[in-house]
Amino acid sequence: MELRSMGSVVGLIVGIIISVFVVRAMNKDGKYKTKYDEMQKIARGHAYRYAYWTLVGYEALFLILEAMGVPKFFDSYTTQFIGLIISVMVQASYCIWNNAYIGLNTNPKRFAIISIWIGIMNFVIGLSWLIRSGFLVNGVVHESAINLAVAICFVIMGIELFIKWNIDRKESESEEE
Amino acid sequence: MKNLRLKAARAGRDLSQDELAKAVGVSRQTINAIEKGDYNPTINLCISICKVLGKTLDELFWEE
Repeated sequence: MELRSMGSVVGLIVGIIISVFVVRAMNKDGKYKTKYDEMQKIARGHAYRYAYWTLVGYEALFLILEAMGVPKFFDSYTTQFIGLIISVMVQASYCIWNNAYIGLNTNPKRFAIISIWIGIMNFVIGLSWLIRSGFLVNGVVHESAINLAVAICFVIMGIELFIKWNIDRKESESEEE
Repeated sequence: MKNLRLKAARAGRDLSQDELAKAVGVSRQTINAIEKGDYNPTINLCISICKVLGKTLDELFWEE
């Protein structure tokens, strides 16, 4: 295994472990657990189903392309990660349009700040790698494309949330008149 | 089918969708969907709504 890949793997594992421990430690009394009502839970269930089938379709497509010998534009690490990002986007978008993304106890302001921060961080990391290494390395797209893809996802989600928020606000105003 | 009885009962108590939603622990969109007939609530949610609005299940949710 290359040292660079080893670093990515260690980074991923450490990130997952820290996330699990931090979330568990913070959420001992379930205070920080996002709460959803019954309609939101149903919508989230549908969203997970669509995300699952998106990932299955994505993997099937790449298996077919691989079997056909189509030249690869991404290494396997980037390919798998982009599949995950796309399926997560499907889940998030479905939830946003069906009022199931923001939980009942979510602080929208804090949520927006964290999302913008993650988006900017990924954009900066992706762009700095891209400037240093270029878009293509050994004929495949550099893995920094993952960070850019995550940043783009956050921009798309932000736009979706903003549009949905406006629709809801107008609906609420017309309801109260 | 729209649930106009629910809407009327809510208006009768001078509650907004948001206020009723908070009182029964759901989102405003869920109350809106119930009033528009886009969502069939569970019996537990129906009971919570009835308690807040001071109505019976028959008065708000029984289709004649």
